[in-house]
Parts: sequence; structure tokens; C-alpha cells
Amino acid sequence: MRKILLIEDNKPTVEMIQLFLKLHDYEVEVAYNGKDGLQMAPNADLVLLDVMMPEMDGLEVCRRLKSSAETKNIPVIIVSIKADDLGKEGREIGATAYLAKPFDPEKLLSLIRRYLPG
Amino acid sequence: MNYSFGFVDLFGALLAAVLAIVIIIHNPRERLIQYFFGYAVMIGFFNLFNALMIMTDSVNLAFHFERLTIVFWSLFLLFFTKFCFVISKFDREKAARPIFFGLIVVSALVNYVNYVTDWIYKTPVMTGLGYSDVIGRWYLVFVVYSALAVILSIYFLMRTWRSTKSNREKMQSLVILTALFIGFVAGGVLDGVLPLLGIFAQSTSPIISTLYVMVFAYALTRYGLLKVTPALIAQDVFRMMPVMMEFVDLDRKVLVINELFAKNLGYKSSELIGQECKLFHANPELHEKFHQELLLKGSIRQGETALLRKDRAIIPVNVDAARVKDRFGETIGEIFIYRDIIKEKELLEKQKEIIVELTKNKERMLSILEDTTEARDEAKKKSEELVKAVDDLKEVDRMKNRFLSVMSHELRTPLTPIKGFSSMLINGQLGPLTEPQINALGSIQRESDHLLALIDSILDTTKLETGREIELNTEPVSVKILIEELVPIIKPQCDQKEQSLEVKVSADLNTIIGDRTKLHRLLTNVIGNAINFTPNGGKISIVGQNVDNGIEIKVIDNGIGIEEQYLEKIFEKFVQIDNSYSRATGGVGLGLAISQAIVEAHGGKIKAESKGIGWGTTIAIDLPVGGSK
Repeated sequence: MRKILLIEDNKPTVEMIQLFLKLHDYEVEVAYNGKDGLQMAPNADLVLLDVMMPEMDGLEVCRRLKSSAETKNIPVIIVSIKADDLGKEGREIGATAYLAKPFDPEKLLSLIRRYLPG
Repeated sequence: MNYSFGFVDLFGALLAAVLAIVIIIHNPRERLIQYFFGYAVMIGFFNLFNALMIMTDSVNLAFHFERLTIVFWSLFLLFFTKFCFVISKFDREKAARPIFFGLIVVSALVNYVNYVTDWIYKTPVMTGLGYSDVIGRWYLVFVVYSALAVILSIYFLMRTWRSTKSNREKMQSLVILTALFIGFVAGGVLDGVLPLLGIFAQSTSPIISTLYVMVFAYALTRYGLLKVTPALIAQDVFRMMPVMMEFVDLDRKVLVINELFAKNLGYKSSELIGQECKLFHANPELHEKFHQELLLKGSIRQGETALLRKDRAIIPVNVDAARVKDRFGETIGEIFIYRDIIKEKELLEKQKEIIVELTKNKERMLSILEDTTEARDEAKKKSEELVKAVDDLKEVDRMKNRFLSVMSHELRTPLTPIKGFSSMLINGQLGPLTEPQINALGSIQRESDHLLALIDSILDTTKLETGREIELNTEPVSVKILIEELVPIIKPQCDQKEQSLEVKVSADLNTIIGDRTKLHRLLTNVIGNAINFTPNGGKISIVGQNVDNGIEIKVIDNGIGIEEQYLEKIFEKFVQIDNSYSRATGGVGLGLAISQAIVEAHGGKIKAESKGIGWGTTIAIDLPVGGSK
């Protein structure tokens, strides 16, 4: 079972994504802030990353993930209400894809399937 | 014996003497007058000895007097010539001295010859009129010598008459010339030509010469001297002085006054001369004091007194005065110089008035300045308050924008699970649902989308407000497909209002470079407006076609329409023409403002067309193929 790390501070959103991904046979681990997310990332196959979070924001997390040899090949999908504005910046720091909140869960699924085949 | 002609000559002698005295008194120090004096005296003697010759009773005495007559004739001629040299200014030339010296020599020679021989005049003979001259064989030499002197004089007088620019010199020369000419002709004929013809009348030359003297004397007194001497200038200067001047003798009687003095006092000069000076002083006692002060100090400076006019009017004056001494050091009188100070006083009064007026003005100005300063301070204060108010407003605006931005983000966050869960539910991923449940979930989803659209509008507006450009994430977009995707979403809204929806988009509509999401919002906004502002049963058309290097999308409705004056205004933020209607339709007046911003971010144009209220509206959007600017 593929392991997806969800770094997101909003509980209802976490619950919705967790439920949806489990329905589609993914193992979901959750970090409620950036720091925890960074620690848990090496075990994940894909990271879903929110941007506006306490402790450390998603962009910084992404930058660190992409600069560490251990985690730089893990696909990172930024899922944010700010995704509109973060297109360029996210691309520069090496995010794999972007999805604006609120989103259609099917779109999230198709993105995950694109970057995490099989 | 008839001596009548002798008496004529005696009278001539007397006349010449009087004239000589009158003239020399006229100006004794003037050289020209001195020559004239000599000339007149010589004529007097010339007359006298001619008279004596005529009237004597012995031929020896007659001979003696006849010779003396010729001597004085010669002397008269020399003085006359010299007089003419001076008057014609020839005496200043180098030739004057030798010529005059030559004349003296010839004169002396002629007289010597005449005295020792009878070559010029023979012994006089007795006629009915007394003894008379008898000419000798060389008489012509004497005539020529005399004529030469006269001609020389005439020549130089003529020269002056022609060359001078002074009117006075011209007149004087002319008078003397005329007299000379007549005398020369008359004397020449009577005493020169007639004797040559053997006619012996009595000599007329002496009396004719006297007549010259009379004419010259007239010319001198009438026209003055040719040469303007310092003494004469002084006289004129005194006469024309621009202050009032009065010279009184030691008896305090007026001796000399200038023209201004007489004029200002309203008298003729002749009325004042010889009068006691206290007569025309308003305060004679004060004037007496001046006299006393002059005795003590010799002069007065800047005294103040007043003169009395003939009409008894009083003239206030400043007075300067001094005791005057003649060239021998003897005091001869006092000179008073008066300045009319009425005008000065008037000026002073005027100046005082002006100063008072200026002072008032200054005070007024100061008061105005004070007011102005106060007003300025007040204005400054107000302006500072205004600046602060504007700053506060700006801060409030920033806070508002920040609030809207944060709020729109915060509002999106809960929408994420709402949309996610409802999507999972409606798709049956969380178990089978009943139809009412499915309908309810559909409603939740639609309203969520509506809420999201509103939130997006607010977000875009805050961007517009803060002057940020709408950022585009560009990619090739087929607007045809975009419209086709929109149809299922808008169709239910049209159905709800029983509106017909017509879509006519060319099959080959150009693909453009643009931001899919933003273009989606643009179309949603514009079509949403058309549905909102068209009553039930209306018609909405979406037309898409290629234009030059781009596409044109028109959204046409047959709704309420727009008045012409509002066609441009509707693209401004928060503008809705009929607010009550917009409330009923649920908009906030941001749609078209955002739409315009999106179109402009793509380098396109958007405009509204309407024939007026009730005629429907067409929104025309031009988008270039090239996409964003």
C-alpha cells in the first residue's frame, strides 16, 4: 500500500482527505504542522502539502524536502487556498503539482495517480 | 558876418560831449565804451575847432583852427576805426595791429604835411558863412586816406554782420553800417566831391559825424554791447534768479530787485525801486531785527519771515541775507534772498498726510497679516488633520483589504471539506443515498460553488483595490470548450427562469493563450449577469467567432438593458444601476469590474452595448490570440 503524507493543519480537511484516500486504498499519515511533516516525510511515497500552517509554512517545508537528498525525489503536491498565487513560487522551489482549495476530490485522485502510478 | 554854421558846429560839439558822457557813464569799464567815448570826444573837438575856424576874425587863427580840426578828424577816424575793429572782433586777429599802426603813421604824416604845407588844405578863405576850407593839390590823398579807414571799418562790420549768429550783433552791425554808409555818402559828396568841383560850402563833416555818434549811441543803448562781459552776465543772472532778491541801501531803501521779487509781490519794478523796504514786509519789526542781526553778524541764514503783496496777501518766506561791500571794502547795502515756502509748507503738509495714511495702511496690513497668519495656522492645522485623516483612511482601507483577503482565505478553508464530503456522498462513495438526499447534496454543492464564486470576487476585488494586477497562469485555452463546459452549469439556472439559451460558437474558434480559471470566471460572471438581468422567459445568446488575430465572444440578452450614460460606468466597482434589482438578484456589483480586469490582463477589450431600458444588453469581449500582455 502506497504511503501518502498529508501535512495540513485544518482537521475537517484532514478528515475529508484521509477518508477519501483510504477509500481509494492509500495509507495516509498526517502531520498537523510543517516541522512534524519534515520528520515524517522520508517514509512517505508522496506528500500533500498545505501552505498556510503554524510553525513552518508549506513553502519552506517544500524547499527543505527538495534540498535534502533523502527526500528530494518524493513528489510534492501543494494543496492550498493560495495555490492561485503560488504557481510561480511553488515551481521555483520544486513542487511537483498544485491544487487549489476547495477542490473536487476526483481531481486530487487523478493527480496522485499521475505522480504515484501503480 | 554870418556865423550861423558855426553855431551848428558848436551845437554838434555840445551834443557829442553829452553823448560821450552818457555813454561812458553807461559802462565806464567796458573797453568798447571807452573807444566810443574817445571817438565821441574827438568828434566834439572836431566840431568845436571847425566852429572856431568859421567864427574866428583872423585868417591866421582860422588857419590854426582849421589845422586842429583836421587833427581831431584824424583822431576821430582812428578811434572810430579802432571801435569798428573791436566791434567786428577784427582786433583779435594778427593783421589788426599792423593795419592800425599803419593808419596811425599815415594819420600823423597827413597832419604833419597839412600843418607845414598847403598841399592838402590851403589857408582858409572868408565866405558868406564865415571862414571856409580851401583844398590843396594833394587834397585827394587826404580823401583817399579817410575813405580807406572808413572802407576798412565797413568791411569788417560787414563781415561780422554776415557771419554772426547773434541777432543782437547783426542788428548792431546793421545800424552802424547804415549810418556809416549814409554819412560816408553825404560827407563824401559835401566835403569830398563838391570842393573838387570848385564849390565851397561850409564843411558838413563835423555835424554829420555828430549824427553818427547819435546813431551809434542809440545802437549801443538799444541793443547793448556786442561783447557779453562778466559784469553784464552778472546783471542778467541777478535779474533772472529763480529766488526773490532785493538789494537795499544803507537807508533801507530798495535799490535793486530781480524780476521774480517784483512779480511775486505783484508790483512793477519801478514801483518798488526807491521805496522803503519795510513797506512790503508783513512784520516790519521782525525785518528790523534782521537788519540789526546783519549789522552784528554780517549775514543771516535760513531766517523765517513773511512778505506783503501789493494786494495785502502774505507770502511766508525763508530769508538769507548779507551786507554787501563794494570793491573798496565799503558797505553799500544789504542783499536779501527770499524763498517762497508756501509750496514747501504745502508739500510738508502733504507729506505728513501721506505718512499718516501710510501708517494707517501699515497698521491695516499688519492686522491683515495677523489674520492671515492665524488663518494660515488654522489651515495648516486643518491640513495636518486632513493628512492624518487621509492616512487613517488609508490605514482603514489597508485593514479592510487585509481583512477581506484573510476572510476570503478563511472562508475557503471550510469549503474544502464541505465540497469534498458532499462530492464523496453524492458519488455514493460513502454508501447508497435516497433521491431526496441526493437532491439535498446537489443543493449543498451548488450553493457551495456560489459561495466560492462570491469569495473569489472579493479576493479579486481586494487585488484590484490594492492596485495589484491579476496574475495569469497562462496556457493554451480553447474558449469553445470552456463555453461548452459551462453550458451544463448555466443551463439549470436558465431553466429555473424559463429562459432560452442559445450557443453559437464557430467550430474553428481560435485557441488563445490565457488563464483557464480566470477566463472561466469571466464567462461565468458575464453570463450570470445576463441571466440575472433578464426577466423570466427571456433569451440569452452566447456567440463566439474569430476576428482579426483573436476571438470575439458576445453574450446577448433581451433583458432590462442599460441607459447610454451608464454603459461605461457599469465596469466600475460596486456599481449597479438599479440597486433594488441587484439585491433581488443577489449580486454585489463586482462582476463586471473583475471581468474587465481579467480581459485587460489578457490584453483584450470588453464593452457593453444597449439601446436603452427594455432593449436588452450585449456584452462584447475581444480577446487576442497572443493572450496576456
